[in-house]
Amino acid sequence: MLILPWMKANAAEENGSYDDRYCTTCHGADGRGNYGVQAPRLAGMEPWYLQRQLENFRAGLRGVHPSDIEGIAMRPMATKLTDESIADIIEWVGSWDYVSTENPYRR
Amino acid sequence: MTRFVTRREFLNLVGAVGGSSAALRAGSALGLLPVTKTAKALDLFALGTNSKKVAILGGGLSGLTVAYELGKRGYECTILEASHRCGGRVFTVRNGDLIDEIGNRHYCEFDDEPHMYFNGGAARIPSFHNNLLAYCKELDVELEVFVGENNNAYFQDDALLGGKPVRIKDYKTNVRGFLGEMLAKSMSEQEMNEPFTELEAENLLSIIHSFGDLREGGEYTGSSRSGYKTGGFTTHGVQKDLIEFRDLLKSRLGGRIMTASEGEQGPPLLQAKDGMDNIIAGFLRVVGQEVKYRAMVSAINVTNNGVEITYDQDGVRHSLNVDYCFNCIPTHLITGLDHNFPADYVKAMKYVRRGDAYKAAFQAKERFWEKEDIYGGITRMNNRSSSIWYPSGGIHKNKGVILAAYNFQGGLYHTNMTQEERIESHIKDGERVHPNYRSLVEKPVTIAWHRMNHMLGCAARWNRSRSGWTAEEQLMFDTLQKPVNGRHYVVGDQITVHVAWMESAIQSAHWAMEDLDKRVRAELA
Ligand SMILES: Cc1cc2nc3c(=O)[nH]c(=O)nc-3n(C[C@H](O)[C@H](O)[C@H](O)COP(=O)(O)OP(=O)(O)OC[C@H]3O[C@@H](n4cnc5c(N)ncnc54)[C@H](O)[C@@H]3O)c2cc1C
Ligand code: HEC
Repeated sequence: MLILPWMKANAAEENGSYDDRYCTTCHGADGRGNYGVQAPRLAGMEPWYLQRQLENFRAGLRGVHPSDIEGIAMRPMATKLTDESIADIIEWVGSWDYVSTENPYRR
Repeated sequence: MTRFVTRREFLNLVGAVGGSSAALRAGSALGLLPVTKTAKALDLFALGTNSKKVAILGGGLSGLTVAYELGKRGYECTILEASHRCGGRVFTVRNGDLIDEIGNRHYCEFDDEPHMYFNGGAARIPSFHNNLLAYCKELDVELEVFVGENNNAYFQDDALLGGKPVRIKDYKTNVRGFLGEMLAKSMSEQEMNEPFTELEAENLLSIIHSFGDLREGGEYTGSSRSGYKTGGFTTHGVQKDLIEFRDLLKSRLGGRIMTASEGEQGPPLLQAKDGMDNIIAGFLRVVGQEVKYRAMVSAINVTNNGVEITYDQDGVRHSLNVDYCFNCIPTHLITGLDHNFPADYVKAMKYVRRGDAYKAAFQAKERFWEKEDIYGGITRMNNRSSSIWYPSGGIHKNKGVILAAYNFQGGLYHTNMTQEERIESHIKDGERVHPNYRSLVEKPVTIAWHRMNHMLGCAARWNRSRSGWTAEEQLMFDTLQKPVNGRHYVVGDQITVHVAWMESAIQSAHWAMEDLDKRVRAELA
């Protein structure tokens, strides 16, 4: 297939270093939480708690029980994280303001 | 203790459950083919000197259809796509391509040749999906036949004949023989006398005889339909031994084998030459400049005279104000965005669940299946990997790409494994059919749709019960199909009753554009 420049994002970017910032795909825009994926709110979460949970998922203390469907969804994300990327993520998540998960209809 | 049923008892049983008409109805339920009207050119109002802005959220097939059609009528379209590529679930992997699975990002290492590709999402086009086929024609997307049914491929089940793979032709021929014999016997015993005239009964018997390849007297003694044991060209063929009926009945998969290539998955099927994403490329040749990649929508605010979109690209937050918005983002991901949708709309989006389809593929170092008279088609296994698909194209080349596993409904089994565990599972399963499999395959890719970034699933599931849709489900569907304020449309196969087909994605886009068109005509009249 002939790949023209506008048919994809640029390849260098695609093949670039591992992107840890998948959180919002599941946890919603600015980490507001997403019922559709059963992923809880991250915005407004205490940094120490966030760090502990990411470490727990990474270490297999959380998200391993076969009946823990949501935890199993979260764990593969965490197993890829290094200490540096956890620090980086905590800073990123810290930049999100707390918002209510439920969006009331407003115009 | 097993109790045996005589053939007579069995026939009585069949009769007791409702006789032939019930059986016939059960058979036709297999098809369940939706009716597609022949593709018609959309009759949409061309804007002329008026200007309208449109945002398309997600570069899935439905979004691209909207961009293409509205672009033709003078609408100014912008496509925001969160991923590095358009196409969503139309996804072909080739050398160097990224498989963006969350927690298992990997790259395809197949040899860099046109026939070395794998359709990780959509792979088959039924010949009556007319709107899709019409776009392929209009956009110069070359099509070829997809070989799905191949009676030379295998059926393998550990419960059947000691796990030895059986050619599908041998399985089918023998089952038909015995079924035919049972029918013929019951006919000759005047059991089915009543409703038929003499001529009808005669024709029925002849159908049964050729269905089962029966001898005179309605006996099944084996058939050369599935080929000879030896000879057949320059020497006379020697008939294969028949497989005992009881042995054929050891597998739970028998019904599936007999009907796998019927209905929407029956021949003739088509595919885009050199990869299904050539359909996406066809659309992008026209609307490609309108796509913003890695542009992840984060907020949707519907106002009285338009829609305000917020998206993140390269770490920068952008806003885009438009007159109309078409949104093919999966509904369970839309619920995580900042939005102001009405409560019943949100309720519907939250209700929809997603199927967890899973596919895997290997590069084969040689085309070992061709040495076993297999050209294209599907081997079916009663194990977790379930299928091996041999490629329809690239015949007699050195290598090829085969599908190593496909699970459309229960894909979480493999999804929850590590990449190494997945691969080992597919190799072990494949070895049951091809003993040297392990040494013949390499360069695996796995595509677990439940973890694919920005998709997190495959087929939208609207109904929770197998017996059909409840009134409440239908109401939620109707709610989500209608636009919010006449401004925001949800599209995609997720807004159809026939999910996980490209044709459905296109028809949902057509539905939405026809609805928009009424509004635009009314406004500009
Ligand atoms: C395993 C499998 C097998 C299939 N087999 C067949 C087949 O044989 N034949 C057939 O016809 N069909 C098949 N299908 C179905 C077909 O692929 C789909 O019906 C069709 O492609 C859906 O198109 P869509 O328009 O709904 O968009 P989707 O493909 O659902 O695309 C949604 C898009 O939204 C983007 N997105 C998500 N979040 C955001 C955000 N926040 N901001 C911006 N963009 C976002 C995604 O990246 C994606 O590009 C199969 C699908 C799968 C998964
Ligand atoms: C594949 C979807 C997915 C991705 C991607 C994901 N998460 Fe999660 N996450 C979940 C789910 C589902 C849960 C809920 C688990 C549970 O209920 O135990 C969760 C739970 C969590 C928790 C625990 C919350 C609590 O209240 O204890 C934290 C912290 C978390 N995620 C952080 C992150 C961060 C940071 C990222 C990005 C690096 C991320 N997640 C990416 C799905 C995901």
